[in-house]
Amino acid sequence: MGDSNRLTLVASDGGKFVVDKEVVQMSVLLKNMIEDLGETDESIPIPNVTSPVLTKVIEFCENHRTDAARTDGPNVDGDDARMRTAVVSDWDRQFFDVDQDLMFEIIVAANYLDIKSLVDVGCKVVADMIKGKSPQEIRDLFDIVNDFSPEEEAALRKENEWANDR
Amino acid sequence: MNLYEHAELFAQKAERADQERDVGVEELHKILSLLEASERSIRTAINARAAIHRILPPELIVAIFAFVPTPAYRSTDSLQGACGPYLLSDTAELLAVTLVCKLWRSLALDMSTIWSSISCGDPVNRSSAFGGSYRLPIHFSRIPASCIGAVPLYVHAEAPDIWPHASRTSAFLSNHGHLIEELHIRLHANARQFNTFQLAGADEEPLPPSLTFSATSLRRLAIHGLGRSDERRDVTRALFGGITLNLSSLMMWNTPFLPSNAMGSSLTRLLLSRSDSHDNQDQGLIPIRSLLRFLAVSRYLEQAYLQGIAVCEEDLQTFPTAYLPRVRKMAIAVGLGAAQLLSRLRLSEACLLELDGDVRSPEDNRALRSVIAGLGWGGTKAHVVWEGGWNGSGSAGFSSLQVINRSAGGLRIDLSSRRAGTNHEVAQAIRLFLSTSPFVTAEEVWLSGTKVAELLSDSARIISPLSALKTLHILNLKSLDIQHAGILWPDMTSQEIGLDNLPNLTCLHYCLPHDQYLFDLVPLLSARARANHPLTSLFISVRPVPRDSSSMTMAEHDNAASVIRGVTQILVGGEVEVGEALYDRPGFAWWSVVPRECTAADEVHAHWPVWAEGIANTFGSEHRGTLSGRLDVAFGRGETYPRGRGVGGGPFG
Repeated sequence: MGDSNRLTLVASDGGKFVVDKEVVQMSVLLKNMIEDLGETDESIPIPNVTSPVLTKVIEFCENHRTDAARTDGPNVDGDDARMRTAVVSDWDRQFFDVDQDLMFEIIVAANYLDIKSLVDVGCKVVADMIKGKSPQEIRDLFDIVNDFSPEEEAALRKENEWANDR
Repeated sequence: MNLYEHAELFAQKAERADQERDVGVEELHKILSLLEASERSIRTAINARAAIHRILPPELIVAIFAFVPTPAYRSTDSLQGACGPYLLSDTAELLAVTLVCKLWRSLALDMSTIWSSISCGDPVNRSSAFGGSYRLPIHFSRIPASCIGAVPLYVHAEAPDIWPHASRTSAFLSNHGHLIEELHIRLHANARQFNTFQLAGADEEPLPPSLTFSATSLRRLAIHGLGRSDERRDVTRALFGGITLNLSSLMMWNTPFLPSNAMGSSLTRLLLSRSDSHDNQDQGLIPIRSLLRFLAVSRYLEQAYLQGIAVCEEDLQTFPTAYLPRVRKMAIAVGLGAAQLLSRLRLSEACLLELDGDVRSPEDNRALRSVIAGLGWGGTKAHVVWEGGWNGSGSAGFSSLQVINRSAGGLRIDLSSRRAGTNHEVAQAIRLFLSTSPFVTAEEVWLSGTKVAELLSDSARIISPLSALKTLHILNLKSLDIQHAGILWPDMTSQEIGLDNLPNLTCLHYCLPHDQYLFDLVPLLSARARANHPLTSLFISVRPVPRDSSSMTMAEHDNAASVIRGVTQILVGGEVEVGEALYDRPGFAWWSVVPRECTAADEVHAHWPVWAEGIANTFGSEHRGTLSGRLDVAFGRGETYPRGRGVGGGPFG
């Protein structure tokens, strides 16, 4: 019989992670699964998440396990208030100081696992990367190329002439 | 043939184009168009392979975009605090997002909710007025039409009726004005330079177009600078074509009238304010009659911050009485106009009321005292702060009298002066207010600030009126000797307790800044015991020891507390407690007994300063909204325990 306070998550590549139930309950998906399963020694497969990504997700949950506002309880302020109040700590910024592929995969995994705080922090980190940059700087940042036609570009330039009237 | 080989072949053919003499110009143009279209397709294919597109689904990319605009107001802004939460955000940053690539443009423009916040206006005026601290605003007309219509709009308009935006503003508002739920409009970037809408002769003056559209959805309205009235006359104006407004929040700044068509609405928050920079101090004041008529029908009002009320020369008894049973927070400034207004208000005892007084205006203060006595409130816990030497508050500084009643309502009166006041004037003003209910019935009182010794002086007898006082908390006082705290000493000429100052005082909580001041505490306790008027409870907060090598050791510190307890116990009729953090313990700290509206960070703002120990003029100061520095508030600055010089090894060791 295993420790009833811990459970095993299995990543898509077979990697196994033994974690506290309290930690994984930041995920609404996992919380519901645990409630449905009841007391069990069965591992929980996470088919859409690879081991490196799951490692990071668990690291985030462990670091934020004591956060007061988690997924439990009604969100009385609604999504709008949640978005506006999402705070990115220094720890969070360091947490997301990874290559872009991993950063985006973490956000996707958090969305799949329904960990709102991780989705918010991840999106805010990316938004902060965008803020204050010109369109070309944003393209360079994310390896995007300009795919507007010359006519479209001319129309956009005209539409935004006012922005240079400072 | 794979895509690469196709491209290579295409490139080779293009290179040979000038040799193909039979191909005409038109065909070459067609080929060029094909090549360009191919290039764009390839670029789109490249973009599809970018990590952000490859990994993130569109809904998460959109979620990222939603975080790009920053809130237009900081939580510490007076508007946000007093009238918020405002939902405006600065969407200018989103423009760059729409220009990155086709996918981003499509995603961003399809997301109407992120375009619901529009900040419009003249960037030149805006930057000159605010030192460039604001971002470039987006004009109404810059928001793609397809983005508007699905959700309510939040609009911040800066001088929208001034060239070159006036016609576009007008067109936008006539088409989309009915969607605006929140409007913050600044009509003059600088009221002195752009005094476009004078209210003198206002009945004939047309309103600017930005205030005449059909605002059927408007719930929150903030207006800056609609006119300057040089007369205290009863001006009423209907905004937005006179339709019935159903506002929840209304702010009027430098706008000396109230919209007649917002009367009787479901208004819960009202803020009237004016700039101190008016050359004529009487300019832009709101007549009491207008205000009372408005308040009398605002039965859902919960918060009101009223500044700039004209003194009334008429008989107030002829004015309506405003019953405001739901008001929880009300601040009224300043002077006689405030007192006159208050005399016609009926407030619940659960109201938290804040007033201002000028120590050099005894007439105004007398009127204020009369009105607050008329409230019929009985205070249970009070707090007197006297801070000295703050710039702009007179040489005698700033003082604040705060009292909480049994219904968890309360009153705060801040006393300062534009002209330098003397200590005597401040002392006199405090004493007179403390003689008045609801202060006079307080049984538990806190004294704080840098001038606590003045409050405890036997000669000034400032706190003597507090005859019901049983428990006294003293913060930031070095000495309890007869010179500094004479009022606590028994009347040595009489054995009658009734003749003592503060006859019911039995419990003292003293923040002992340094063990050497036990020299003064012990004689005080002895004198009270000898006069048959001992304390029955004594609580001593000692300054926490800094955890560094230069300070006394923990063992020395524990010994010190034990010695203090031992020395004082025999002179006190009952309980003695000595501790490091008593000053900050719930029940011992003023901040812990006031309602949360007085201290919570999301409640305090420029118009509603925090009610806290030792906080001086909080308007615009770094103290606003915080309770930091309570250690200094309790013990004063600069007192430290040198190593090996604690009570255990010191004078009582």
